[in-house]
Amino acid sequence: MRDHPFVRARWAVLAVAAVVAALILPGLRAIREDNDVLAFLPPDHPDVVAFREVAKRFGVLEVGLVGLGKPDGDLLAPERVDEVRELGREIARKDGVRMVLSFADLPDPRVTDDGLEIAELVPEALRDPAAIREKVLGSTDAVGSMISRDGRAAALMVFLLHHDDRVAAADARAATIREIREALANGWKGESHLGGAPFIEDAAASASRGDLDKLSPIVIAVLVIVSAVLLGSVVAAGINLLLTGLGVGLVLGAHGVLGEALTIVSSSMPVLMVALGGAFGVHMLAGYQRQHGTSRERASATLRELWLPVLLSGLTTAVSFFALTMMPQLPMQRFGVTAGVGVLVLLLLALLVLPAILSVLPDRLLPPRAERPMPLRMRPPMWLLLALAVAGAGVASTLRADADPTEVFSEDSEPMRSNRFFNDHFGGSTYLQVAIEAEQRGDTDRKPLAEPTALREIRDIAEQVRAIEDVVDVRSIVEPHALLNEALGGRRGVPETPGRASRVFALLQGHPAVAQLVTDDTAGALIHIKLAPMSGDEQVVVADRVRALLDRHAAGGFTIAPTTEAKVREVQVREVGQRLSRLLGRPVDADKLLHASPAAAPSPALLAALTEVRDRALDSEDSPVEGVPREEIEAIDPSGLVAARGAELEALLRSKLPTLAAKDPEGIGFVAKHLGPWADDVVARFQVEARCAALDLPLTAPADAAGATCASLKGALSELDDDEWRVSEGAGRGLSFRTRLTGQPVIGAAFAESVTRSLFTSTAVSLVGLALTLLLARQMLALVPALWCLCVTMGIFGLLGMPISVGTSMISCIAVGAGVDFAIHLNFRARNYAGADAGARAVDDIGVVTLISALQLAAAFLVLLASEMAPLRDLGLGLGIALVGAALGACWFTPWLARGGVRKEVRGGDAGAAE
Amino acid sequence: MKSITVLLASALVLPATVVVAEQAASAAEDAFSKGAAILKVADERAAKFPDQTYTASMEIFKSGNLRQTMVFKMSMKGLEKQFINFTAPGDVAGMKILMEDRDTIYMYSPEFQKVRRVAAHMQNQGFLGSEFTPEDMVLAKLSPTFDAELIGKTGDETKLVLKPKAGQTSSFSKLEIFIDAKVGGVTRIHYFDPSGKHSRTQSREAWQPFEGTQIPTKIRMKNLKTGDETVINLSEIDVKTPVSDDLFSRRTLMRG
Repeated sequence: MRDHPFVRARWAVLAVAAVVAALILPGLRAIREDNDVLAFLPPDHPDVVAFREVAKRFGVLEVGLVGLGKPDGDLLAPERVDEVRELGREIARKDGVRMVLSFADLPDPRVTDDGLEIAELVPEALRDPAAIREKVLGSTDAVGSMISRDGRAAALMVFLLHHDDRVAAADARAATIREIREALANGWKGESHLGGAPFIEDAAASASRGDLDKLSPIVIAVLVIVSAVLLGSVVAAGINLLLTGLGVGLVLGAHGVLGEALTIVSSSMPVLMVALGGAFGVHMLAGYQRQHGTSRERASATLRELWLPVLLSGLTTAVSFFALTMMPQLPMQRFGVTAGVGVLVLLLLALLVLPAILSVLPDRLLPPRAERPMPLRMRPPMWLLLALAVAGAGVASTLRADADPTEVFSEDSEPMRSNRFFNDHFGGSTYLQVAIEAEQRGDTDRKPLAEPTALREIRDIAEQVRAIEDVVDVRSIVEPHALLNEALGGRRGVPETPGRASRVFALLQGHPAVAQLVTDDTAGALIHIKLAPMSGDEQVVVADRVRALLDRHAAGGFTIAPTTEAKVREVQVREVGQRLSRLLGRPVDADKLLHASPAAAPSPALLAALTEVRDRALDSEDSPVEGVPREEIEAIDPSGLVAARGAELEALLRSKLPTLAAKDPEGIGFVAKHLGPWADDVVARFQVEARCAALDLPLTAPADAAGATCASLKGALSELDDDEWRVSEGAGRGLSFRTRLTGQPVIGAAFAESVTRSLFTSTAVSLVGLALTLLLARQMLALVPALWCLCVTMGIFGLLGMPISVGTSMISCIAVGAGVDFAIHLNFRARNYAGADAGARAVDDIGVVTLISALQLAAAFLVLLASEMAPLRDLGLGLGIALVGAALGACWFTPWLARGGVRKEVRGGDAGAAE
Repeated sequence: MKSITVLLASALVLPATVVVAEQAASAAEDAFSKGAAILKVADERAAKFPDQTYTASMEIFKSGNLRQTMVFKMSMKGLEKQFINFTAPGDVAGMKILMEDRDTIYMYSPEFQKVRRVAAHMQNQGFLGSEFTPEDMVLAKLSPTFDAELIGKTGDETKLVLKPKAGQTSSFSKLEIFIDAKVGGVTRIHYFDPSGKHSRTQSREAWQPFEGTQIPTKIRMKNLKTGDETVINLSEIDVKTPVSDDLFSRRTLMRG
């Protein structure tokens, strides 16, 4: 018989292979890595889109946490504070770090009698341990976020520089994180933990890639030994290793040549390629060993016998990988394409290059080797197989993805240790964020959030979220805003007017304490919500409760209207009443509060307060005038200051202050301009106190008094006097006000939903692709053991409690592909026999070999169980189960499927196999 | 705010140092004594224009984009008393700041109609989102804080390195000052953080003739780590008209 055409062209094939290798293998040196873990989020999922937008706008992904502890506890001793401060400064000096906040140098604004004092929470000169402890543990800004309540654990907030193109900045970012780790190792003697998005992302990437780098050689070594054992020849194993190595080299080299970066998933390609692609070579080499004659004759005979099953096997495996392109995650799509193409490359090598190599071997280098039949005795009844499939499918329907993305890490990994540290010392480590984005409607240059109405909405959301069970901390821009408003002379709360709100924002701009709370353009704000430690499913429940609170803003905006309008006033009174009810924990009728007014009959205390502002306006450092005779000042009756304003007040002053009117007539105007608002403040304060009395709240209460006090409710009560209020529609200024919920639990849920959906989608596409391929090859029945394998494998996943992950789709597709692969080889073997027992005889011939091959491949993949990452462990275990299941399915179904009667029944399908 | 105003003051007075630098360089025997002489004379010349008024626009750039432009009028007497009146944009317009001395700052805001004292002890925080910090005021008088070393001259440019004196605290491990003989003044200042890394650069540009010398009318402070930048443009500079002492009072804030 003439040589097979491929064998005749052996030198040309080898030459082309050498040229291609020479062109592509140098690309191995140019391989880039892409460690972007976030790329595995479904890009079009609305929650992911929102997350990315919010993260970009607010820099959420740039905030890392460094947890610090000491074996002997206390971190508030002066020398420990120094250590924390210096470590924070050292990290802040690193390239790529924008700013670091620690409790030691946290800006600590304090309202004083005459203004505002801003200093470090612990100035370097403060050396009194008791004073340090009192200051730090008394700071609501620090406790719970930068220092634990007992002072035994600290946290640094590390703000990295934001890069619009995160992928391009990946190397710089990795270098920054490396430098931070070094600074921590050198600058802190004690317990330390790294948490937050940048460090978790880095840990995920480095752990995955590190595991693959570490474990892949072991997996590959096991696979090489497997092939040597199966082939019974070191030479054959060496040729297969050479061929597979060339294939892997070409696939990876092409990554370098084409600039395709290796992602965390595609780093597993060498292992998969060696395992799955190496099987082609094993089949071809085993076939070669069965043949007799010269090397060329044996190579030609091998090709004629095996080209079709090997081709089909390769095509079906490639189709399985191509099905991964149906997954929404871009890295998985790219992996599907590259792995599919890689399999085709290995297929070409097996069908073209390997025969060429074999045909030029010395005739006796790889002597013929007789097959050793190894009958597979155990064969379960068909009803049992079907029952297993049905039961497996049933259990598989219970498979769920885990909504907690941290579950991918092992318990002793850095992120999990960090989580435990922050859970133990800071009450939680998981955050939700409510992003608020506002925009003024109409022609105005007002800053969108510089509206008391908008700030009230933010405050109300925060308060209501705080009341949700398992929410341990809520922070928003409202708290620092309220403090500064008070420092500037307003009330302790949401500023009274848009002008004041705007001024406060202007002064807060660029302040590190608000960097995570509001954007520079004052159009966006974040509410940070810390959750208590809980499972991923419970996090989703809390997230849903928060989301329900945001329904109020579903309309995407509201109108700011004057409270002089009756309908607006009605809304104002009702909503103030509702808030007071929430704060007091009992029903409050705000209408009744409206009647509690001191103005009708000024009390002595009110008159004394009005006297004080009168004197301040006319005879103090804050007075715009000087030299006003005391007797003229005292001639002004303070009761007259309750209502007189503007021109009326100016006229009153002119009549009572003749000396000033003569000496500084313009000064009268300045006094009136300031005295009026100051008197307003006094009246408002007394009005609030009258409302407190109406609510039976004592005017004074101990600082540590439990529950609401008049002092704590003053801001809320004074809002009854605000000039503007939010209404859903009507005349007024329009404000677009959009709220979006994001954060780890939301993204975790989106990811879980996505991987669950993509598992079914990619598996279905894989099955359809395989069906079409097998239909063309008239091997449709090979799909039966593959489907059985899929059902049983997924059922075992369910029984083992394994969650659905990105890797599950890979396992599913590989399980189907392997099931088909094994079945095809057994089916083709069965063609050697006639009669109803053809399939059984094929299984007797190569069933055990198939099973051993699968077991050994499974053993190789089980090496991945040593991984630090749960998905890699699941991948290893899943592939092991899937490969053994595929081999068993093929062995158990082939005797039934390869019966002559069955094949006749499906004539037109794979009837050719019976011939 | 004091950082900005004193910085501007230093920009106005530092040209005088250059003249002295040339003279000192020829008289002194070693780099340190030359450097010290330059600094000493610079500080002595700092009071050359005791009364100053000007208009400044401060442009704040973040990530290369202009985020905000603030305009203010400044009146200054000596290096201590300063009165600033913001005129734009709307959210700061009308705000006035009075600095009586380094630690006494009062702010008046028309929305609150009250004068409030602000005591900001944190020296390395930018003001109103700018790159200028309170510590920059040490540039007005360098010799009390820094020892100077004359490094050398390349072309028209003379370079001084300043390091904190023993016992003096500074956020910077050193400064590098570049003096350009063509314009007769400091054109660049490099700031180095405690780890010795060049962290900020101040550039003085748009030099114009003024009262027999040249002065920069554009001062640029760039944060090399973040790339963010603040640029101050000076105009309507007046050093001849006396500034009244009465201006620097809380009463003026109320009436201003």
